[in-house]
Amino acid sequence: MTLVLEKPAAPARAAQQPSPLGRLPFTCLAVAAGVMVVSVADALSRTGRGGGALLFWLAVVLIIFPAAFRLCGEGARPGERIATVVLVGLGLYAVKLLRDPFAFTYGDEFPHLFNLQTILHTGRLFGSNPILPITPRYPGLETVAALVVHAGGVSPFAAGAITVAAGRVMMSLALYVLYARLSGSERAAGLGALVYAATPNFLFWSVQFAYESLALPLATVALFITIRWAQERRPDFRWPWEAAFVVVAFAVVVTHHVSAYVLVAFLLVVCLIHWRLHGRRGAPWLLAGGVGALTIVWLSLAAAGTVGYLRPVLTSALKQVIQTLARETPTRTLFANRGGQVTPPPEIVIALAGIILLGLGVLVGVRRVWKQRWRNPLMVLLVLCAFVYLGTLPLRFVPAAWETVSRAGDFLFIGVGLTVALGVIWLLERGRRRRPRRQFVLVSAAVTIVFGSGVIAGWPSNERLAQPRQLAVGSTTLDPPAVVAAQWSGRTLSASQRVFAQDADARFFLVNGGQTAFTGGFAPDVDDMLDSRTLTPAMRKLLRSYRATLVVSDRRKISGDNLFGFFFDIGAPSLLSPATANKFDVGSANRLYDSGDLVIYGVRGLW
Amino acid sequence: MKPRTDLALVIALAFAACLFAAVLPTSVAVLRALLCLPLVLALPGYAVAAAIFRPGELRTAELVTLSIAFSVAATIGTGLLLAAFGVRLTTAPWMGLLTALTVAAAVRASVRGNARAISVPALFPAVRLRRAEGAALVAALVLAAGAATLGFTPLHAPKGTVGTSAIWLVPAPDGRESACVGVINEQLHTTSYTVSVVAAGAPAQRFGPITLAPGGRWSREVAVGLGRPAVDASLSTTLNPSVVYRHAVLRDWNVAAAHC
Repeated sequence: MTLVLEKPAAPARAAQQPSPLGRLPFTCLAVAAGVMVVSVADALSRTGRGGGALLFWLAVVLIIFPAAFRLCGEGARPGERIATVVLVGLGLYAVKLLRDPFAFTYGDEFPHLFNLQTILHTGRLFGSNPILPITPRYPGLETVAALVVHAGGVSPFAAGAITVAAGRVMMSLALYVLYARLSGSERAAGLGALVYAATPNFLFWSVQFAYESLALPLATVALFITIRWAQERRPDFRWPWEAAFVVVAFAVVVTHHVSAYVLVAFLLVVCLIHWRLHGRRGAPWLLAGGVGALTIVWLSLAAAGTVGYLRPVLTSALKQVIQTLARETPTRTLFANRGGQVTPPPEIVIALAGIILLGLGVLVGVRRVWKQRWRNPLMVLLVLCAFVYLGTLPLRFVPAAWETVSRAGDFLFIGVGLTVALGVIWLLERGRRRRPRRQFVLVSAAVTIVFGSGVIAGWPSNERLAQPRQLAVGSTTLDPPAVVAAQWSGRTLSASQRVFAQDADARFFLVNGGQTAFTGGFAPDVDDMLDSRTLTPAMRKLLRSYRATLVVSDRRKISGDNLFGFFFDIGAPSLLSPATANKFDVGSANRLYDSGDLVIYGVRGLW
Repeated sequence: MKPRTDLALVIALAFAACLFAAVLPTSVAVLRALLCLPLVLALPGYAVAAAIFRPGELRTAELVTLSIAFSVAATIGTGLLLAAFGVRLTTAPWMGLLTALTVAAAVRASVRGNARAISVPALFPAVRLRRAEGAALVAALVLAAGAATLGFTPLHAPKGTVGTSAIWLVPAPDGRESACVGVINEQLHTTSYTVSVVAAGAPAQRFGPITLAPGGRWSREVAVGLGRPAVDASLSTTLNPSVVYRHAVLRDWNVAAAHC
């Protein structure tokens, strides 16, 4: 596109002629300003200064409010709406990227980065992963990132960031085209895609380097293909959509288990709704069967361990829901973050206001769909999803169900986005004659509050801004001591060690040391060993059975936290008792590396 | 010769990406990424979409969406295919296969008559901007560049950041009867150290003062005598030489060190 500056026209004439770009340049400016503000907020946070939180919220307003205002109106062309949606999606992705500009720091990102490193190192797929053993069986994300490394010549971290950015662009576009085809309204499509950004995981969790970040956008594309397949009246012309569906569904199946299962479930429910509303013929049985068959084939040929991986999570969630209903277990305290930090009262107000506004939006949207007798099965499913999403909110009180519900929200919110957008547009059209600009301001404010509510629900307030992960000292940069220890182990002892370590340390030893690192509370119970004050014969047996050669003893309690444990300590850290660390100082163990709180023991002698 | 259709352009770009991936060094990663990543994230999908859909069947946004999704699927699919045939996933076979897929799909689309004529004005339509719009776009670019520059620059340590120092001790490689001892300065300031090595209860060697800048490293190989005795290495700072600051112990020599 060639951009040519135009001479200023006479004011009256200029006002009459709509610009071909609409208000896009100004939306760009607002989003860029938001990104700049969040970059300053992160810089303040990284250097231990205050004021970042306020700037973070200013950035959110700058990114969301102008876009919402523009998408509410009727004036924007489809191209401008699409560009706005993509721009907001990327602007919000920049918030996450600027939080972690030097390395991945989310607990799930490390195992995926390790898988990527393994593919690059060996040239083979389906390696092993000691922390999340199921992840190499779903290599879609890492496969794409590996080719980005090969083709682009970039680092694995940069390749991961580029792959996730592609996923974010795909998600924004897929939501838009899906909503546009379903509702027949570009306005609803734009607003719906923006409302979807209010899903609690959208800002941070959904753009981590993990398999769902790519699989969810692909699954949304598959839903879009389904609606286009259904809208094609001539059966002879449906084959391209069927072929397209197979291609995209295959990519979903080999990328993420839960996304594949949700896609199968969505399509089966669409078929059932179609059967109920229009009869059995014409339902996407073929598509549902196809993706179901692909899922089963992949499950049996390549990823047999998936059931064993997911079962404990789901059964634990279900068990605790039942126990909570029977008042046998205490409920989870809302707005109490890990580490004891409580959500600030203004944020609690915004969070609750956002939920109320979202609920109202869903109800108005449902009313519109009901009144207009929309009988498209996928539309009906999405409205049901919106209802189910609201229904799952009370489950956030259940500790074990919270995570499952939070992740289900990513899928259910596809329904919320469209339903709320339809409701909002219906309200705007009803009150068209009454000061539209004021109405747009109110709606944009409401969308911003709903988005803020999602952010508050999705990520702890003390973890939204960058932490000191890499420091400039003179002409050099320093990494946290655990990273240095992990790198030392890889360089000095070679990447052939089998390491027992706390959650955060294990991830560093996996990725920065290239070691086979074990952690967690079961199979093997590393946490129990590291937290104990005495070294028992059973622990020696465990070391022997896993052929562990190194134990990383880290007295800092934060090293057991895979959310907060990846940064420099500011101030004296909270420590475990000396006995927990000193128990390995026995006759047959080596004390190979000592950096104070963190000590690496060579434990082959303890086998 | 200039490509006259979109599919000819796709083929040209695919070959160019494949070529640049082979010849451009990774030191020019930005240029290489710009030239080569379309083959991973856009071109195969565009060609496949053109091959299976009729012209005009897709709106522009839908075409872009499917191009990305198909490209991602093609990248995954070709990776799995190569893996299934035991081919290592390296640049040449993978980019070659993706290029072949892109060319095949583009040719199939052309045979079906799905190619679209292109011209420079169609690809780069002139958009007349008002001054305010131009200024807004320039300001947006400046702000985004500023955000990236600030965001990706390591900054100084917050007040109260805890630095540390480490000592390490491992057997020397290749079965030599000596040990390797090393120090890493992870303090935020230059620090001077003393290292004492004791073998079989007797002083073996003493090093110091060792002055290391932040991030600085030091290591030595120390002969410890026959029989692989227990070795103890302790680290003190020159500011407080009587206090053992860190210490490492080697009792079991069954440790395979790769480097000293």
